[in-house]
Amino acid sequence: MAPKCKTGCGKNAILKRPKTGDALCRECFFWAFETEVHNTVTAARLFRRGQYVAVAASGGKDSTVLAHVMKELNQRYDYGLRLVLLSIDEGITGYRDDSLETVKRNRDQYGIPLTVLSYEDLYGWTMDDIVKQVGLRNNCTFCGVFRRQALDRGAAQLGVDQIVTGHNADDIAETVVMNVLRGDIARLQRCTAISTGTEGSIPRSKPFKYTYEKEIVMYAYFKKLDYFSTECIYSPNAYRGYARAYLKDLEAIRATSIIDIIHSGESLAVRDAARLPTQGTCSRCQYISSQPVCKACVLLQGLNQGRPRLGIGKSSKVQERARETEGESGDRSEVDSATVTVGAG
Amino acid sequence: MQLTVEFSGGAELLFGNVKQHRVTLPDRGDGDSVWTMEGLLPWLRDNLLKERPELFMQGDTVRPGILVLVNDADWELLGQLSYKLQPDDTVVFISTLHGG
Amino acid sequence: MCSIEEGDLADLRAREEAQHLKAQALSDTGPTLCQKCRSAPAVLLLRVNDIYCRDCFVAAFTHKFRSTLGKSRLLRPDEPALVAFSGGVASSVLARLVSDGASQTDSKRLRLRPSLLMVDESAVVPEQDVKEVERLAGTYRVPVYRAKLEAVMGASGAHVVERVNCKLKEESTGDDGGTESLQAPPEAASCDSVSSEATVLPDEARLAELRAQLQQLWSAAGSGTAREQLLERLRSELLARAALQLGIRLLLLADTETRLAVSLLSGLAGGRGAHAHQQTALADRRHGERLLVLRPLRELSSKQVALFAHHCRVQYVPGVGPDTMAPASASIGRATEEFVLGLQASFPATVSTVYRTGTKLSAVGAMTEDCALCRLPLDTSGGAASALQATRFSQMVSSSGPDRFQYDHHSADTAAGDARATVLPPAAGNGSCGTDTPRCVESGGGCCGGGGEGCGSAQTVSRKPSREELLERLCYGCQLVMKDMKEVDNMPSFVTEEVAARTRRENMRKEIQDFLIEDS
Repeated sequence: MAPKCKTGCGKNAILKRPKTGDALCRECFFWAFETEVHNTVTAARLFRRGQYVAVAASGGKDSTVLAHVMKELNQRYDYGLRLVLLSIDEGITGYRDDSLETVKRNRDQYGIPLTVLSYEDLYGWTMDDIVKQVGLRNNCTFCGVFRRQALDRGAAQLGVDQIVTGHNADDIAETVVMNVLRGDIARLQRCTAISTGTEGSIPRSKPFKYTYEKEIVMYAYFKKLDYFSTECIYSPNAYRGYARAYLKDLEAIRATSIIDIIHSGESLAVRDAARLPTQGTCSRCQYISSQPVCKACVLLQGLNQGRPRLGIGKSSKVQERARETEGESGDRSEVDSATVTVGAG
Repeated sequence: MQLTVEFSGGAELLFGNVKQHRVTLPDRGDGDSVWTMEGLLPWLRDNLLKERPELFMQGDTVRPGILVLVNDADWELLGQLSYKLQPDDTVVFISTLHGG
Repeated sequence: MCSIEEGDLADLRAREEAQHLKAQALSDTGPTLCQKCRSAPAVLLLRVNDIYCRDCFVAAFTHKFRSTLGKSRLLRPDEPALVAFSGGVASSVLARLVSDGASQTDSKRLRLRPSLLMVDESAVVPEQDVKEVERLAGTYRVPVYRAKLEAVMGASGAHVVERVNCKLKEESTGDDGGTESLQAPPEAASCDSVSSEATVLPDEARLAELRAQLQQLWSAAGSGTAREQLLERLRSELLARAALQLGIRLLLLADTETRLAVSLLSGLAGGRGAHAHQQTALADRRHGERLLVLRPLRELSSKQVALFAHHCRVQYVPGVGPDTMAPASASIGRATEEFVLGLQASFPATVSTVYRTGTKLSAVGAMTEDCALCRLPLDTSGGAASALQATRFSQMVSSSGPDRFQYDHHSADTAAGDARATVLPPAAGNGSCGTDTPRCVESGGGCCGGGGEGCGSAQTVSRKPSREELLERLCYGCQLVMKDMKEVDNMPSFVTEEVAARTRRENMRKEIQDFLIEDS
């Protein structure tokens, strides 16, 4: 005898919500999931009518479900937004091909236009090429820096007002824990903000801030949404893995732990206002940077001059080396600022 | 080889609540009677431990939170698992988990 | 999908650096020398690569204790200090440091008059060897007091603490030859001169009642986490009350850096981000001006404390509690301890970094009320866009379904409007209050279910507050503990008194509401 849906709609329940423990039927679950995202969006006033919004699409579960739900809510509640899918191709053979296929499917299924930007286009290097140059130890430094900038540059190229990413409650809780472990007070203070973005850069928001990862998977499963889920072949086993395991243990002990951690993050402040690095612009490509030369330009300079370790290490030393070797030969030693300028506004 | 093995800080609860043990390690049988900490730990687990092996060892070393001293010196200074035991060494295991 | 973000690789680099530093420190051939005196062989390795001989370690440890105490700048010369003593390694080390320091005869004498306070928790922790703890306490030759945990259940004015050892005078003769009889505080020299407060024992019959009530409260706790937190709260409250009754202004706790790091992280896991600073602070002022709670061991790790105990032959009993030998899955505290200690083994700066993070945090905004259970500021005001609001919304949505849910549109532009919603009552009145007052919706969880359980009934202030009334006066973290309780009929008096007082005050306010001039 199947339990009945908690809402009293009369249908049989088919799942138990990890977030609240309530037994719900399919339709009520879909509705609850979507309505909660709508609540997050409206309570935080994420959007304004007429905005052009890019959905960061990786082909993974978070971005696939995000694209679907954004499309759905935009229609149902008449947000009046113009949506576009933005995907970054890092140039990792095999891994990228499958996820790109997924993103293309999303474009077709949801009817949202798609723009794909590659590292090759932006920087002149694919990740495969970079690995050949720097080996497997430091390649992730490159990818991390490049990807972050790539999203901003792509968004600037398209002229969007905002980027939405699929970061979910589990991701944010994990980031809170990571920042405590590292003692990174500045990041800890900012990481539970639903919208981030400094002066002059395009704001990014997280509509899934309060959405449990498990529920995203459940939603995708029951809605039969297709996504690509494999770890990047170059991923090292970092600190983050421990934090993930800890979170899973906590969730097993108390289901609300994820949201509880987010509440903790929202409730704390730094005692003496953290000295956030002053934001300027990169002298070479005009990207937002707290250093005279932005990280991507430094890394690129290194790649192009055959000095792959140029960008690795303490930023002060890095800046010194970058300045010293600036004049040396090398083509494309800066991001082509003619193609993408991320300036004010 | 004879050793004195001590447990405290709560670790003794796993070893029949006895703090001090005098143990005799058998010859290793492969002609080489060298005992290292790496060999001693599983031997203790298999021969002296009364319950809950996972609270004493994790993988091939002691569970995090358990301090190990050999003749009063921190085993971290002696090479940890690779330390070669000498006759009449005193090995002390101190648990620091949820104490006073 | 790649999950690497900035900072992840810095962690790995930091670990490599630490391993490198450690290897460097140990690279000398032959016995490694103490880094401080450079003459004696090193016997321990602390933090990343600090190596010391026994004597330099003991000296540095003691010095750290003294300087931490000194930092508080709040001590008056020769004032009485109560040391919370459980018999465990940390409190025994603290007792040793304090009693040794106070009995020094030179100018470096620690100018405090210590006594020990032990808590008898056997009502809920039957494994506690109370006699052994008393015996150990007696070895420090200072007055020892005992309070029974069940006493905290009673009214605030009732006596909770009693003196334990009155044989101080007899013991002081014939001890280790020559030394002048210990610098015990004059009042403690004999039981007769102890203040009358301490000699009035709690009424035995009443204690038995309270014991039963405590045990019921305990069994109503539905999880290891709830028990762990409840015990900690009750014990803290009891310690504070005992100190006040003894007229002692200073209470010393034996929290080590490791314990504080773990409690910070488990606090975060339990929604206590707002209290992160107070949990790790040197001085805990939650009991107001009358009591100063200090944590002089806060910069010493549990490894250092255990090694000090070993090298200085400090006796102690292994900690026993509801989570002794429990697996990591038993409670948030246990899972966090395993996590932190596990990380510490690979990343030796973990504990100190986490602890230090706590010291740099504070709470957001100015709260006006304190939690009735933990006495720290409430953090439940939330905001339109907050985890609190999201949780309430989820509960509402899960219990109403699309058919009974209605948005009140305040503006045509829904994407930017305020999402106020109502839950319509179900068709057949099963388990609902039948009305959907805004209060019903705002206090979350859809319908509170069941007639007079507190739905809009703020007028009646019953002796035992309802779950709703209780929850309203608790901070987020304590609310979570309450939610794990099967029933809330046996809350300690200090909580129910507080809740009742606040409700009365709120009723008063409502009466005069219209005549108040305020700018909020």
